[in-house]
Amino acid sequence: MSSVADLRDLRAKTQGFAGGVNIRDAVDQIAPDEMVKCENATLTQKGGLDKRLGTQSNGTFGVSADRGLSDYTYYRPGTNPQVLLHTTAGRLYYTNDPSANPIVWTQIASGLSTTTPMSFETFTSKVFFCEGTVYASWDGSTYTTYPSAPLGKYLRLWKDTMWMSGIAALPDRVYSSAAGDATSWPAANWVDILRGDGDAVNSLASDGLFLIVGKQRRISVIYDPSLFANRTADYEKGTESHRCWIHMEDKLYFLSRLGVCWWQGDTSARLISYRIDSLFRPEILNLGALNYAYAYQIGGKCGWALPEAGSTIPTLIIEYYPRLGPVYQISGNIGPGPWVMHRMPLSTFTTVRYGSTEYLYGAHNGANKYMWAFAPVGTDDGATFSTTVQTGYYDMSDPIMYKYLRRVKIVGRGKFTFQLKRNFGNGVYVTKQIDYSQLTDYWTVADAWGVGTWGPDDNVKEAIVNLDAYGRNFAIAITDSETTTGRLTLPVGSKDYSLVMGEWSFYESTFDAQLLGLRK
Amino acid sequence: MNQRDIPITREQVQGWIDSWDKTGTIEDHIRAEVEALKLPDDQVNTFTHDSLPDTMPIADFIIEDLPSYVVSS
Repeated sequence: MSSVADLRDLRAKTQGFAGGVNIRDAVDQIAPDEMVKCENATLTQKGGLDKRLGTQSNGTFGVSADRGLSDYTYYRPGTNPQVLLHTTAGRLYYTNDPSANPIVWTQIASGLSTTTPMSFETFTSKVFFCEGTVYASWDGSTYTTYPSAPLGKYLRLWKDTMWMSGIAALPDRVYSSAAGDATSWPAANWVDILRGDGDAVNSLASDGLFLIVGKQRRISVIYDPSLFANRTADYEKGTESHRCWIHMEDKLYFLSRLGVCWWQGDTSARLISYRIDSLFRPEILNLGALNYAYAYQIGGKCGWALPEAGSTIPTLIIEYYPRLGPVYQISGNIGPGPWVMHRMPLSTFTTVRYGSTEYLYGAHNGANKYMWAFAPVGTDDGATFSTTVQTGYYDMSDPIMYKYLRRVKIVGRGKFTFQLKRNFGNGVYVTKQIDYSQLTDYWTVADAWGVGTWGPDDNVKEAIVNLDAYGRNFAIAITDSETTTGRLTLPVGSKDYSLVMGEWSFYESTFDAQLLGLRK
Repeated sequence: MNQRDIPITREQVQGWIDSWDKTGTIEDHIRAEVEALKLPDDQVNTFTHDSLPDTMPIADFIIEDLPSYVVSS
């Protein structure tokens, strides 16, 4: 008499999402903590996944056809910073309060370049700027031009001196102002970097020690400001945009043709974006418009807005979390961190810290609006945006046998849609609405003892969802169509802080399953 | 002389360009203006520059940068 073997129980738990997005690896090679898609979600807490906050328009500038080309925060000790905005109408504006809604923009100058983003630096209590047709300064109330200065496109302050490059007729040339005086430009203060190499300087930066001179194919440094002594620091990686150098803590990052790199000072830079390597292809990014790419830094993250193929204006944001990288046990160094992506309507950025606030602002990429990024709202300028997240495929430690997923316990907060895909397929197999946003039953004076619950609503909740699903391996997809924000409770000792966050968070799924047999 | 010790500003050079009466060449005009300054040394150290000799006449060094100036036709 034959007998049927008992089915073996399976328990499997997701391992968090600290690995970020991975579009480089094959679908079956995605690590358990990585995602093949992660758009409009953030990694605020290591391992957790949150919907990002939205963007809020703080009013318009110019006329409807105008767009922002570049912006800059001009800090002034003892008084409010000003934000300067260069637009495609060739106008330069300032505002004393970018948090006002609507912002009051006052014109500083007109007749400027309508295509070349302005470059800014603050020195001797003034902000100096250039865009290829003018070199000028602004002290908060007075606009001054310097007609005899070189008319470059890139400015960088280094060693008490203003440095400039980007003259079309002299593509290798870097100029230096008089020491301590950005209004005076000696006639002999210039040097050609990799003269006649067929390339052109497209960015200037500094790590404090060197003036970094970037071209598309190589990067050099000027290491002696007196003698203009220079050498090539990176012989195979170049830079793409003057506005894509970002300092964050002890590291300096920049955008190259190969991806985002970590500047190493005196040797070839290291790529840190290899998990999104596949992005840097001409079919996906508009390589001809990477000079319009723009970087930002706010909180524990930094990002780069990139123009996708077919667009000259940045449309895709890649966001990096350097603090969430792996810590190497022996050296104590931290390795490359995770990435996420956003489609957020901003093409320029500037961080403004003033008083008790620190916010990220920027120009809208499709309207003449000035935006507050990651604002405490659940929409992008009033429009609904969804999150698109998909993990790799989990085989629950058995790569061959089919499994029956009886139920899943989901830990999170807010309201989102939980989906399953199976067997490396694209189709959605199971869809479950998760709603942790409803308040639980509060105790009232009408309740008898033992009825209902008492106390504040839990922020993070869990629920069991019946799945009744079969498959060999499964991927989790998360999406939503919410337009509101949520809150994250952050314990700080004896006090809990309630922080405004995106509508939902997703922390963990625990599957209750049974192992079935082999299926063709 | 080192580059930073040369006491000629771009404003001066622009003035020379603007005052050129179109006789001879602009290069000769610049050389004459530099010579008139009677600098203590007429050579600039350019050993840190690619594709240039270790020293060169100051006037020639300034002429090298003429494309960065506005020359009215």
